[in-house]
Amino acid sequence: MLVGNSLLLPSPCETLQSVRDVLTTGRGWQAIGLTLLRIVSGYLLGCTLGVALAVLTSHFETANWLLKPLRSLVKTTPITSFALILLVSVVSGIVPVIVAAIVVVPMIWQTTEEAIRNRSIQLEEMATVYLTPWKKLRYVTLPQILPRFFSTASVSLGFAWKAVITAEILSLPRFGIGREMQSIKSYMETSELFAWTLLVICMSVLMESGFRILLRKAGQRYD
Amino acid sequence: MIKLSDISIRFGEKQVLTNFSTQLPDRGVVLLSGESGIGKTTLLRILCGLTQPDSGTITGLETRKVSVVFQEPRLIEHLTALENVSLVSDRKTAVRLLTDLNLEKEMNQRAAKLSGGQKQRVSLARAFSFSDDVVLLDEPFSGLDDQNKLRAARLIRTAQLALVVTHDATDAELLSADKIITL
Repeated sequence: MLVGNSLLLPSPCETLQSVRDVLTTGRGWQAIGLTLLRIVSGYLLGCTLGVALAVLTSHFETANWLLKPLRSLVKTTPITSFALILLVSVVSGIVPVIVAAIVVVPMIWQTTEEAIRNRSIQLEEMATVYLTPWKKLRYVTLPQILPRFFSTASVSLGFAWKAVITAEILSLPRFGIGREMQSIKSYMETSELFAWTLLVICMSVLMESGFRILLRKAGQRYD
Repeated sequence: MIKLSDISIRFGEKQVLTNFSTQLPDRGVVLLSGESGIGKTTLLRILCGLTQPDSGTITGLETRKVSVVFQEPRLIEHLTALENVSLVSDRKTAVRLLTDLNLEKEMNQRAAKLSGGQKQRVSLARAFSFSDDVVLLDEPFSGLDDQNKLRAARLIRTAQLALVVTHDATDAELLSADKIITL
């Protein structure tokens, strides 16, 4: 009963037709391009900050004591709160980037910190005796940390997607998938909403799969 | 001459070494023996700089290159035996030492796949590949059969100075030790 009523649940044909329509307009590609750029930027920013904080808190107990509550706070605060707070002072196009970074940071931070803390002291001592600092990092320290880092990095990429789309819906930048979804919702263009959702799922799966293949290749060396 | 003067160290409640002093010759094989837990490994760790004593001084090691054979092989498991050894020296030396220790066939196997005794020999090869000036060895014969013990002993005797921690009295004979220090 619901299928065929394009207002409530569009048919697969209608959805695919809408996908084609989206992909044949310049605005559609601009939205996709800018959303991807925001995801990649936010994700890389989050990973970089997460690793930096992990190095800091795993080496300095005072930093750990001071910053650990902040991590818990960031983890428990809803994405929407961050997006709405940021909207007050930040350009709408940047909000999704920062929100994605905020989502990725605690995940990468916690896993990397645990990996740093749990690395083998015996191997580190051996490396202190025999290896230069660079060789120690390359052959002893990183191989112990990277498998765990890669595993979380892969999961957090999916979270970055969700965060950027949600933040775009709330912040309404000029171009973006979230912006398009919000506009379509206002006009009750359900088939187009389904088309965007389908595109988001496909792109997210493709990106994560590509990332996993890269990680598997990188991780093979340490199996 | 390497001189250890008044070395003391405590771990929590336990006093491990108290004003320990001794002298090591510049050359030869020196055996360090004593009861379990008396501080033999701690002394080795102090000599290679991994542990700082609470008090005391060591002189004569400043200009010398020290390598260590730990009680556990401590190999990088995802690297091959040859890669583990050549990481600290050149490939030619690594191949020669692994061959001397009867590891030609296992050279290109990942360390993770080697047996305990093979890992121990790779660890010996790594130490001598890095330096044969001062070699500190903690129970170097553990897990080795008689044939490989002889090969290892032959290699240990090539060091300028080898300080060997052991609890086995027969090791002194096997190594033709020049000096025995009992803690």
